[in-house]
Amino acid sequence: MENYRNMESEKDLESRDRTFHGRDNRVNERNGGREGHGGSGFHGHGGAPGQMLQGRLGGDETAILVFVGSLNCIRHKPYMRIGEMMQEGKAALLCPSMSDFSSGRYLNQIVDAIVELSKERGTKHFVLTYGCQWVILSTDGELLTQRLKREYDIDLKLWEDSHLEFGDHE
Amino acid sequence: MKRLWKVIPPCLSDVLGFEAVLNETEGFGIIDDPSRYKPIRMGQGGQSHGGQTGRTDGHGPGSDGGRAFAARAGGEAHGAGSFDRAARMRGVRVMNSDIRNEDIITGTEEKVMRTFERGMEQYAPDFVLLCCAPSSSMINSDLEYAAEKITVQSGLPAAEVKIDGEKDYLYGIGVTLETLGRILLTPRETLAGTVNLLGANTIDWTTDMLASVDKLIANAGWRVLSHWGTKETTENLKRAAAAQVNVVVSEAGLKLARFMEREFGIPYVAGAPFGAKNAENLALQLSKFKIDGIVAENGSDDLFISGSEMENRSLTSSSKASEEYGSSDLTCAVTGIAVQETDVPEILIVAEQFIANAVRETFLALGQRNIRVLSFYDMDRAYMLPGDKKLTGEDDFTAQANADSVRMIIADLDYRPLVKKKVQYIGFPDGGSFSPVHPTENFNMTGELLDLWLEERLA
Repeated sequence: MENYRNMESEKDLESRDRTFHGRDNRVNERNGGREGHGGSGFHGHGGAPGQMLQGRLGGDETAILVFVGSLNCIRHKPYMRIGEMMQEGKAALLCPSMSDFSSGRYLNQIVDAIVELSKERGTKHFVLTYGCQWVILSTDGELLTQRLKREYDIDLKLWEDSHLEFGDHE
Repeated sequence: MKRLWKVIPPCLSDVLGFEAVLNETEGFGIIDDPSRYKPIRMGQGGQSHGGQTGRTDGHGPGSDGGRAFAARAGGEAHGAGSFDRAARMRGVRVMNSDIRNEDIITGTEEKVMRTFERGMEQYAPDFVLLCCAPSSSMINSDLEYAAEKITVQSGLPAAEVKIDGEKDYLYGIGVTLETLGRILLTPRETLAGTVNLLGANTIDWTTDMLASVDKLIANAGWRVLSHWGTKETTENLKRAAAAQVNVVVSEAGLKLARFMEREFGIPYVAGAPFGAKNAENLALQLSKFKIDGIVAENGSDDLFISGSEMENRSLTSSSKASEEYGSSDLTCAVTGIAVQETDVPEILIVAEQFIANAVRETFLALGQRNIRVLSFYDMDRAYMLPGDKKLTGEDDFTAQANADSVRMIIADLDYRPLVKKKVQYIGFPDGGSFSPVHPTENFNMTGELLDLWLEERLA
């Protein structure tokens, strides 16, 4: 399994070293491109929201970003332009209910959603990002990745992102 | 697939509805969440869809024009850079509890109480409301207990608002307003000729709308005691139990109105006064509470149409119809105009329920028929007509919009890619969209302004 880090630019990583708050590089490296984290300087805003999200696709023109979580989880800066990516066919949201999460149903929903998108849009490349529920439930992303590869020949990469672990970093 | 959103951008969540309410009060909100809450439209380039956010007249975060209940000078004093952050966070009256992975095991209570202490110092609030985010909801954080502790410790009214970040902003506003009513209101002697305005909010409403509606009510001979959902002092909110009538102008005000009717016997009239017919109807409904300039006593039920009566009427209309949409004898509960005729193609209006209802009634007055209201947001059954529908997702909208009978759709332009057939499509503002792509600028719809807007688009 390959976990994406910030794929925006190496320049971001450099500039993070110069940020006002002088944060720990290891943490920044893991979280680059998230809301207000690193990027260009004093305020810690890491570039335009659309670019931040596009960056998660790692330059793969055929890839689709899928977010899994509750409505409230996408209130952060990178998602402010997710509407544009959705209308361009580059992103989608899956919002399982609390009972979907607690029953484990969300795992099948993720597979179903990705397979549906793959058929409709003719791509086998996906990047998955997620909200806190994924982390609380210790979701086995690798198992999911293997299943999609084995059963549908779909490549899934996970974008590691958890405010529970990293908070706001500002 | 249900719960999968492929085209339509997400809307603001119930927790952001909670924030939208709190930001307009002298209270303070704690959200049991790992990450911080900012002004609701921050980062959208100042775009507010014509809503109150970002206005210069004191409604909405970001530009409080001297009227907002700002935090104490110094703002969030979390070390370096706090001055700049304080400026950016101006108008925000909620804080997150900053929970982390380890709190998932040990519970969030300690951090919630620490957040309360920070909030006391920064905001000196009159009351405290708490709510869960999806993460704390997953572990069932006991915020009810935290609220009790806050009250014991500080003497401030406090309560949990039962939301979890899964639903839409309108639901969040509604539940927050009701909870606010529960902790602030006690019985008072009725002040004749007064109303409360319930449900106008900074997400769907512009300041122009609010000012126009206030004027409309004043012109009808009534005084507004308090506003619930837009900028208001705690003192005025507490006075609300003395109002003679409640005026509910969005679906988000209904829960509070019903609570106040149950607890204090305050009747309510409901509907957005958008469109000449609806504005006229509001004045008419209010006038039924008065006789020869003398305000009637509460409970004189032969003199006015209360909210519950309105609901009964609406339900009666509904029950006249068969379950299948298309029955011909339906009339609008408010205007009394026939709504549907089976052989006329359909018009779909997709928006916040009360706004959409107002557009429907305006259309009816213009001679249009067979109009259905659909909404992705919270809807109240009592104000639905047969054929109206709470949309469950994109697939649902796609099926409705592409039905053979549909000839016109009035909705957010961002829904348009899902419409595959030829229809007349009129873009309509949707203040609740979190990530709008083709926003239609919001506008003052009060009174005849909505008629003019519609006539222009139909010409």
